[in-house]
Amino acid sequence: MTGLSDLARTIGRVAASGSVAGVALLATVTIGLVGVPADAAQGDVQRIMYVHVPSAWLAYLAFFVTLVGGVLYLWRPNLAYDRVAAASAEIGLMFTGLAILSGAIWGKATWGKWWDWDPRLTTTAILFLIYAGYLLLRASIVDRHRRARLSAVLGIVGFVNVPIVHFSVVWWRGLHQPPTVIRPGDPTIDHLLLAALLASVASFTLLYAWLLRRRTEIDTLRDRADLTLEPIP
Amino acid sequence: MSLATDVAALAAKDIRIELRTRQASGAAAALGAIALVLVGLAVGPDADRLRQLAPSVIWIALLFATVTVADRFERIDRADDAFSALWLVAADRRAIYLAKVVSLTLVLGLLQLGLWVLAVVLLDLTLRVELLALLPIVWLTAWSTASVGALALALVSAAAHRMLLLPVLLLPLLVPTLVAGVGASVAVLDGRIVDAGGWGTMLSIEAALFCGLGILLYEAAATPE
Repeated sequence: MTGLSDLARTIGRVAASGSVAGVALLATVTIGLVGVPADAAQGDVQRIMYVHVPSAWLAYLAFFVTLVGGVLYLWRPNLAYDRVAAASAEIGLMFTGLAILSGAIWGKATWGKWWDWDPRLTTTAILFLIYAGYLLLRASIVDRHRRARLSAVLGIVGFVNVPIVHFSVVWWRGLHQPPTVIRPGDPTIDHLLLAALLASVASFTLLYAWLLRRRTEIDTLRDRADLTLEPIP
Repeated sequence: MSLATDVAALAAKDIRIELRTRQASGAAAALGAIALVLVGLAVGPDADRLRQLAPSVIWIALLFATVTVADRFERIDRADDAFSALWLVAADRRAIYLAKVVSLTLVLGLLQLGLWVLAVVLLDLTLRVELLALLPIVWLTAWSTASVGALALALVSAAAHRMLLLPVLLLPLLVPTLVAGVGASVAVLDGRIVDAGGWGTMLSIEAALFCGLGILLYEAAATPE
């Protein structure tokens, strides 16, 4: 069992290493820009999908990790869970912003405008605001355990919006296309483009794992430093 | 004492204070009325457009009024550290949350009814028997809003700049309620009662979900240091 857990830990460390994420991203950029053909209808602008979709996926994943970290903290009040939850929320916010930005650029090229009050866009913007609020709440509370407890609650309640974002394109009509990959039945995307998309999702996920690991390590060091610092008289 | 008795006693305390002072409901009603009048001024004397905008204006006014009412309720609880005493006395802490939800629901529901009456007058809404379908929508929205509001209040109570943080946390969390509330109201005003029923179901699910989460998480959010 020890051998297996050591192996799992080693795989985890390699997967969350910066060099692996860097190589995977480089490969994704190459595949996305020159390895696969341009979309027949949209042309080269469709290649932004290899940034947009992974960013949106990582927003979901990161906020899910925040939810799990919050639940674990409330169950067993260990600050390590809180550090993971907070780091994931921060990274999730960054990727939500990137999804909105890349979507706006894609929208300008295909819809002719940067922004539309489409349900998917609007709910994603709301998701961004909820987790911006999460970080603001954390910034406004000094006590570590209280901060962890309150942000765990908000991380759980805030996650209610994630399924709403995902299913908004099914529940309400708008400009944004319905789901093409995570949907009942076969994906409605060319298989070559789908393979490139899945590769970019995988490499972005590695980037997320590396960022999460580094951010959590920084917070751990900061907490240790805070504990060892004597108050200035 | 049972949970229901505790909830009734605590909610009666909030409502009694509000009846005596009328600070929260008075300020919130004034805010809602100002919003309606300002929209009327900004849009101009276009009756059709005003009627179309009525549900959105009422719900937006309600959201901001919620912040005012919730903050006032919280201030009363936190004054003279009364909340710590309440925390120690309550046998079941869920009663504190549920009482806050009950009292907020009552105030926000009555406020909405007042805003709809004002909208009938100011925005020239036609009085029809179908408008009665707004009643369950009003109370479901008030319940959902109060469930999130009571939890958000507990979250910001320990924070610096809590009056700034409250709307920042509360308003985005209330968006699903806002969407369903506006959808239901528009459907009622258009006479599409079946559609309104669909939105009402969505509101019920949201309210039950938020209230359930509140019951589960309130103790973690509100425990005083």
